[in-house]
Amino acid sequence: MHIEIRSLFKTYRPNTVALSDVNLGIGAGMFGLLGPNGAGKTTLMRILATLIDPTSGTVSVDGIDVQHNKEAIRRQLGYLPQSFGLYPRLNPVETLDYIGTLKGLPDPRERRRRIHEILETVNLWEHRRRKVREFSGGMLQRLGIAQALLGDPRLLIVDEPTAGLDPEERIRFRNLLAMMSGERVVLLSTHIVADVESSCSDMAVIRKGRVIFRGAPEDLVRAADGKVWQVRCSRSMFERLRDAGERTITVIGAKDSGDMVEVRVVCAGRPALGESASVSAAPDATLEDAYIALMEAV
Amino acid sequence: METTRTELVASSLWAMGSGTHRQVRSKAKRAWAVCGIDHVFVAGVTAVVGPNGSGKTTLLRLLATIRAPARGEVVFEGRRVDTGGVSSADIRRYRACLGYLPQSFGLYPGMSSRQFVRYIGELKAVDPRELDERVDRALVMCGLDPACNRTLSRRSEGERRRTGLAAAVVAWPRVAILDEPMRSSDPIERLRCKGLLRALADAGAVCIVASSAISDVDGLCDRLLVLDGGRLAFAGAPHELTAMAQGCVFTAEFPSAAACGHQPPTGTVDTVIASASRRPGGTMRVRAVTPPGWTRSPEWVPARPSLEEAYLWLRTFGASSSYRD
Repeated sequence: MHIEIRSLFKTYRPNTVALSDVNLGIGAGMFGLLGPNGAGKTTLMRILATLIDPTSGTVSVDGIDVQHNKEAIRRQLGYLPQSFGLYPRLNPVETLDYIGTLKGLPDPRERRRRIHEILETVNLWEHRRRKVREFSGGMLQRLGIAQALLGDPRLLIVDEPTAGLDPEERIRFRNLLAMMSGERVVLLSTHIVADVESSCSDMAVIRKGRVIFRGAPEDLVRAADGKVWQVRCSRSMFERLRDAGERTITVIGAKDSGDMVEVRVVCAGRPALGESASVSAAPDATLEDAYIALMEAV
Repeated sequence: METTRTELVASSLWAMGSGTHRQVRSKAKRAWAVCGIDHVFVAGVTAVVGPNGSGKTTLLRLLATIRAPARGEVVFEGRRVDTGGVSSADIRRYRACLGYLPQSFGLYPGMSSRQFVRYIGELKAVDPRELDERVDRALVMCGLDPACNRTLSRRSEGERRRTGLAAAVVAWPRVAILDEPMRSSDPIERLRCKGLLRALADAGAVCIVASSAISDVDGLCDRLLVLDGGRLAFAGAPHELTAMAQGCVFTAEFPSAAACGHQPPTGTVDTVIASASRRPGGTMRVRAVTPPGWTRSPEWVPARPSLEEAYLWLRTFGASSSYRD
């Protein structure tokens, strides 16, 4: 499966540009989409999910144009929006049976077999007799992904799925997506950079409707080489760094160490802080550090 | 008696569920949400984490004197301040230096962020000569533009949440109790929020932060509390937790997802997958936490535990009882 996005624009009102000249090729595997609130991530996902049309540009899935073949795309699509409603009085089997019927899985025996399989995959089989209204946030999210999996979609789109999940549910959920990615395209939009780092093999960063980074998470970390620094300085200098809002240096963390403070900063070059501070390149830059370096670069 | 440092003491606190959590509401309505918690909160950032329904919000409400404990006491600088106490003067004095961000709250939809934060600042009796400067500073530190006069009804959820955070810190509290301050924030907004909490803590405040993402408190908190069923499963420095999981985290690369030999996504009986990612060429790289003394097969290579992995280890293998299940 391959998605090709070519010079995609989306304008909502005359002056609201949501997407501006987006070009992306996305292959099988798990693809992470990062970016600030309001950057256009959800708009991009809705266009891919055939829910809205772009203002101009094209999206094709395996060579099929999305805008003019919506039904063909929808047959291969699983979509988990940011928020969704389910029927509180149904249990998960009934819920999936209902959605499966709507999705056009006609054979009842085959549908039941598939529902059993999916509920096992998302670890809800043991809760199959409980009503949806008794479900915790994590169970609801897993049922959300279960409905997205009905009909064996080859393209799975999940928009900020981990809000409201507790740490273990988050781990389980992102592992589930990573394990499923195989031949599928799994497109994940999130604010938890660490989740992209641990699960995605490919990613993009969007800001103000434009793609400002495209590559593997390791590539973004590599691009931050020479931008993440460890500074050991006095408390007063640390407070100056922190409060002055010095545009060239961004503090990402600080730890007390005796009379001194160990500060982790992002800075385009070696920070010039004078004799009293010792500066060294941070040896273990994370994807989050690299993301901050990218966003603060302009 | 000398009290040079700000200290907030929870002394064998017990409370019933607040009913915020779905499962608490429907199944265990009468269960204890907080069961005998003892902890001294000192200056610095203390993160409170744990599964949904483990009592985080109830504990924060007790500390914020929103609820009275069924048993136990909250003590601030030697004076009892929980609402079960006797001296209303002590409670008032405590509340005057308290900043609280609840899990959800109402805002006046017709006000701008600045108007709202200024209003709270007035209620908090911030010195009028400093008020405007403090309001602007709180707004900027929360990533909000003081000059923006868009009303709260037209702000995004993240902006409303950050307005609440700015209101909680506008009087520069000595005790800040924040329930998921980073929810709905993007990574840069999270970074700013961490900077704000660090600054409060460095100024000597007791900061207590509940969070549902371990990565949000990693590198930020000085102390970590892990709640489980209303009890403390761990209390200590983050590096003490990762030290506990040392030698119990391994990584391996498998030719395919199926070849991991695991029931995705949780792993087998004796290993729990912490993360999995597909590598170029289609192989699967897996990190897993294991019980102490696990005999590894040769494909597994020891790895240094992250705080999230240490948490996962604690939850799965830390309490011997849950492992025997």
